[in-house]
Amino acid sequence: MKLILNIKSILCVLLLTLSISSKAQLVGKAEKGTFALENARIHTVTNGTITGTVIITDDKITAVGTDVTIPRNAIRIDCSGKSIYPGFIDSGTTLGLNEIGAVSLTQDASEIGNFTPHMKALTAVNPNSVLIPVTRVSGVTTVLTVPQWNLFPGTASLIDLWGYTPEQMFANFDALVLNFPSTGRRGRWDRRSDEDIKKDAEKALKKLNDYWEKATQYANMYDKANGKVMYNPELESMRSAVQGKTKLMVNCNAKDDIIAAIKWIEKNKVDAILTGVNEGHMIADSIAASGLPVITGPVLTIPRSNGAYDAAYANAGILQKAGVKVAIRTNENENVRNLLYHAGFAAAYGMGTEEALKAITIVPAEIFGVDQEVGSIEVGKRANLFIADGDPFETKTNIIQVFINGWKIPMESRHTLLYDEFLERNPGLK
Amino acid sequence: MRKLCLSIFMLICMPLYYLSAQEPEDIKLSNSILIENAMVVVKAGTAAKKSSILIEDGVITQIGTNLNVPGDAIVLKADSLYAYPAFIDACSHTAIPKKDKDEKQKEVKDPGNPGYARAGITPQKSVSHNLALNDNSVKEMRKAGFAISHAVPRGRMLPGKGSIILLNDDDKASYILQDFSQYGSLLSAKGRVYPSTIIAVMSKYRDLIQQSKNAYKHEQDYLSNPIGLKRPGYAPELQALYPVVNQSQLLFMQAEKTLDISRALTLNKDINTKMIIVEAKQAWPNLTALKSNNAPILLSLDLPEDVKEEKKDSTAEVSLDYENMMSRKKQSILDYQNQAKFMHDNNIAFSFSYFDTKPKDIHKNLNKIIENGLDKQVILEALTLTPAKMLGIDQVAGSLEKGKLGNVILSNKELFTEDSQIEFLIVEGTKYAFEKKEKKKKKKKKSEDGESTEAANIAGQWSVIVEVPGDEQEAEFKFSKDGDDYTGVLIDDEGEETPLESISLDGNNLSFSFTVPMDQAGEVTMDAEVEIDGDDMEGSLSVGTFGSFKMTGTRTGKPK
Amino acid sequence: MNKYILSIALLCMAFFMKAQDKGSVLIKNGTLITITDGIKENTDILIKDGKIKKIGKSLKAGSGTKEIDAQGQYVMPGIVDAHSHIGISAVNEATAPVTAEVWVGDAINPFDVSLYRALAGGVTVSHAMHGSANAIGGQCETLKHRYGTMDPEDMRMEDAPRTIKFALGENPMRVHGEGNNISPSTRMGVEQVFRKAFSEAREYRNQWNEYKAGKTKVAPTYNLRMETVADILDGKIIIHCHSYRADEILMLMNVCEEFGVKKLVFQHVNEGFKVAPELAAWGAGASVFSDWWAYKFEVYYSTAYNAAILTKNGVLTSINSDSGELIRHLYHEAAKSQKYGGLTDEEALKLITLNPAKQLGIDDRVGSLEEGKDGDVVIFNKHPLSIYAIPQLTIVDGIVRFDRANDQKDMRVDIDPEASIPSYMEWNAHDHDKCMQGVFETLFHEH
Repeated sequence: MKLILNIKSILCVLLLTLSISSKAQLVGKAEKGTFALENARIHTVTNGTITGTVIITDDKITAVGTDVTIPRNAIRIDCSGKSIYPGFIDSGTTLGLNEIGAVSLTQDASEIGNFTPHMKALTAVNPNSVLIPVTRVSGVTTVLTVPQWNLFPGTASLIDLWGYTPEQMFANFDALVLNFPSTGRRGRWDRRSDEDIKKDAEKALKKLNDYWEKATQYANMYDKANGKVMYNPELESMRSAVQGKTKLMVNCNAKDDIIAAIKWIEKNKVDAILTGVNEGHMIADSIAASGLPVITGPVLTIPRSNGAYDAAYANAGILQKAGVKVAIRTNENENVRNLLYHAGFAAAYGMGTEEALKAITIVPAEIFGVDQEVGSIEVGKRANLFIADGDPFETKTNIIQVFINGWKIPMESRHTLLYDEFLERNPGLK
Repeated sequence: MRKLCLSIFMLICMPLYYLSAQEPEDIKLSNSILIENAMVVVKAGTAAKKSSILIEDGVITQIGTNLNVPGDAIVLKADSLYAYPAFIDACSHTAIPKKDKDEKQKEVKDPGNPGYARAGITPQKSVSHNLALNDNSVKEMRKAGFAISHAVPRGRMLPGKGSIILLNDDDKASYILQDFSQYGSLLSAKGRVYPSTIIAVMSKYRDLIQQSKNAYKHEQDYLSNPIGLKRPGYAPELQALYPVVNQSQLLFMQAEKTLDISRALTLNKDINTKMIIVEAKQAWPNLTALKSNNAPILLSLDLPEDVKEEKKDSTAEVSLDYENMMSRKKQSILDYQNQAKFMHDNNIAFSFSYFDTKPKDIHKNLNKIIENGLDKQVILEALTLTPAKMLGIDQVAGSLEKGKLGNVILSNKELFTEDSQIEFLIVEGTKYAFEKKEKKKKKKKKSEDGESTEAANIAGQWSVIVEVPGDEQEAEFKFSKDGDDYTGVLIDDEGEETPLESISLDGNNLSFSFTVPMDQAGEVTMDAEVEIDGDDMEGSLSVGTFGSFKMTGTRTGKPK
Repeated sequence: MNKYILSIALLCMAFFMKAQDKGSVLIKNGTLITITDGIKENTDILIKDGKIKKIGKSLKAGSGTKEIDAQGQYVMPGIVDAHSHIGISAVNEATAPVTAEVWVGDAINPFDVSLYRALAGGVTVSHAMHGSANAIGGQCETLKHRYGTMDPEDMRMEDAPRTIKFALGENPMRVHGEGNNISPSTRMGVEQVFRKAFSEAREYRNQWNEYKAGKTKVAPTYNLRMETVADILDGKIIIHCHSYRADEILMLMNVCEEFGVKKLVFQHVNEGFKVAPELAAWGAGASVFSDWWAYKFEVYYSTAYNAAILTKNGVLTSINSDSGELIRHLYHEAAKSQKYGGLTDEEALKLITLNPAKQLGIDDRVGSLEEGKDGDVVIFNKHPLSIYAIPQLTIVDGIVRFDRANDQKDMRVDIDPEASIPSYMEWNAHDHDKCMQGVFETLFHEH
């Protein structure tokens, strides 16, 4: 703790003394090396909670336990009274793609057209987005960033929130996204009649089946012709998904849409993940029977006007208790840092702290097939973790230090910097 | 195509004297009519009694037995008939054709100051300028038993003054009271100009009424002593509101749901007019405010249909939702259907208005109210004496008494009973006869027994006749099924096709529209609303601003 | 099925209770968070005929008064939201840059189920505001969440001071400048809208005064818009101004200063932290989001530490929702001021109770647990600043309006006879800035 304080005060001094050019830089530099996080309550997620030490060497966790030998070159960080958690994973965001909501030219989450499966989120991730430091200092180290709106909007990618290029940030998972035809309204400006909505959804389903059939034909042709096929980037981008080799993320929220999506997935034998699933609580058992994993969220959202006020709060817990593998997402952009509280509300409204914690750590890691790399505090995993001064779901808890891929991340963001500058403004009045 | 449409256009533009040749029955023989030996209900609440009624020059001169009948009186033998005072429509758009939907709104440079007319405020206008006695609505209302209508203009916030008219077929309207009322609603202006929301409408009323009050005072001051005073400006909108401000004219305010009614009555606390709530559909929660408003209320006859069971859901959790929803919905429907009874039980005088009700549904819905427990006599009163009093015409209408207008309903059975049918309506001594529709009844019965609520199949070729003034016009329509929808075309005698738009089929009710080019007049949009009965259709065709006309047709060919 | 029929019956019974009725209830042995007088453990609070009659130990209620055992639970004053748009049928009259005459109190919608959901989050009073399309928007209405009534009049907080919505920056510029090619299209133009309206209203008021004094013979043309602006100049209406950037905040303070307007609260005020000393010195209030930012350019340079910086600089600060979603967990939003800036429990809870009450001029009635104040109380199972806290019971004027133990799923008051099962709304998480409700729907499509 002392050490951290010292670093912080040194940084403050630096900030005060350095010239304007250093202020133009968003945040300070990260450090890498060998770190010993000592005397911490270690919430491993997969192996219970112990009091002991975590050793980080370069990008990996190299030791976890009560009786750990501390390497001589290690930078020692005393974590007495503190807790260590694996970095949190938000399994559905637009982080890196969108910058300022109402400024359309900073919005890269949705390309023109309804059939744009060849769009790749990773291409447009801006590593220098101001939103990224704001998010990661909250303990969210990894997010899935997802193209939006269209029927097939593109391919989503898992990224760590540290790195100077999208490739450095890439966290070894991506998946094609399908926004399953919805019988819901698109927003409060959507004034279509119930009939029209139904018709539109039916039309969209027909479209979807057409595309899918085409993509299947293409994939078969591709195999037969050893890749010597016409240039067709849309169908090419769907090839591995239609063959069940990679995951398809199927977004659906209204109860009827979830039912229809599950049927569709089963019929087409797709390796799918359900996302959204806002009304899953109504049909938890059938979702469990399908065996499909679910990424649900946002938790802080409003149900239908005749629904229970707490339906969305309780949704993740109900699904999990029914036997569904559930991860939680925010579906947010600038507010991804609130992932902790989406999970916290799910915890309070029936899921319990332990399961809610899993839903933003090991469970999404498993769903994405990266559970050998992230999602828990285990030896050999990448060092994505943070130190907190309490239960991170509790609103007042401070996240003291974040590590991503072993990098000790500067705990700064636009928000903290503005705080530092303006808490006691100088000059003040006059 | 062109030929056909042009001819429709020409016909509806024909001078109106063509009309008088059509109805009432041919040549007038006498100004006296005797209704002989009917079971007469003199007014609501009295028992039917065998008597005769003599009407001379449109006025009831004798009623009872052993009348002194002049030799030239036309005698209507009514031994098997019931006689009632004809109904009075307390407020509707009868005789006012719908505005052309495609009427383009002019761009307004400053949407905050669109001018009175664009804002929907034209209280100086009179409905009399827009009356079309040849409009189908007049015939339909007569068929439903109405001899008098309080016609108010169509529009938004304050479209103008209403008049009380007799529903006879003269080329000119017969006024009982011209410019009798001011009509208003809480509707915002069309097309994003001020007032574009309910909150601005409320403020605009307050502004207008206060300005009118001040203008009135200014005018009075000027009249009594103009020396040294600024001359009052010309403000027809404000001047038209003087009688409303001075409470010498009723303000009929359309307000349907409980929140609208509450807003209207709350507003009235500020603007302090004599306000009548019109077309109320959900007024029972407003009881206290209605009582303190101390005026009768006009209820809508547009009652919700009984609940149709929607398709059930598979999962247990949701079917609970469904049951819950349905039981709440059923209760709600009952509340709406019981509104009239509620008003009666709570001593609020009521009549009806007919904005959202088709005249042919009036009796069906009245019967529904009666089925739910309201006394027939109360309904009769609500259709006769109550509106007569409200409109200030109870000295001349509302009952069959000597000296009043000769407005009489003659029906085959007691009104509001099964199979009761109005056979004649006498309007100011002029007789209108209506076809019996027994044949149709039988057909209908069949489908009712079968409980088939499915939409009619309209696919095929239809040959229709449109009764335009003085002539009948033929046309061909063809409908084909496209999934759950229909597409259709109008075919002219040269085989050219014009597509039909907005085809909507709800049970047996079909509506569609089409636009045809006119040489001089640009384009005219025609809207058809018909009821399908097997291979027959019957309904109306409204032609732009020209009015609506009866349309009947038969299916000449079904698709393979 | 049976459960449902029963529950509907219960629901109906609750609704037959006249909404303006005041209730009596004795809450026993709770941990009272009074806001103004610290924490009182194991203490009773007696509400009699809608008012807090007594706070103390071992209180006795008259026979027939309902008793609630709050052992181990937290009792705090009903939460006050200084900025929302729930419970009204119209938000924006977006046709002119000045629409002071319109009043959302004319369009109260007691059927909005958001009101119930707010109660389920412990919110008993909300400030239903006009939107931010216009530089001078409409007048607002302070609502008491007496949910269950069909009478909009019951929802008004009787005798609450008048308030009006002002707006700076992008929204009025976009609606009128970009949308209609009518000034303002810049922040310079926005300033002139206020100066013109204030000056004209001052002139209007003078003309009427002269007429009333008999100096002129003909009454000036009555103008409700000018009447309202003149009332602002006369200090009869509190300005609540939608604002983001520091420069425009300073601008409005200067204009108000010049015209002698003293009652001013800034809403959103995302860059308020930059001018916290000026706000404090002027005496203007600030009602902020806990952490919303980046949804448009003028909130890009924001910080979640805003509430803390403002509070620590002595600005009267509250946290608001501006959202039918956020209003359900304002207690959690207040707790964020502890994470972002380390406010104490009391400071944090004041942001959603006493401070917004002061900003609305109703702190003599609500905002703390004090004898004589309204019986608006919420009971939590855990400390309200904990993420695990769940409101159990919300009481307005001594009447239980939300009871988690007896919550029905479908809490709508008015069911349309033609209604079918309501459709699902795809939630757009980026759907912030409810202030533009009614504008985007017709003018622009959002995002």
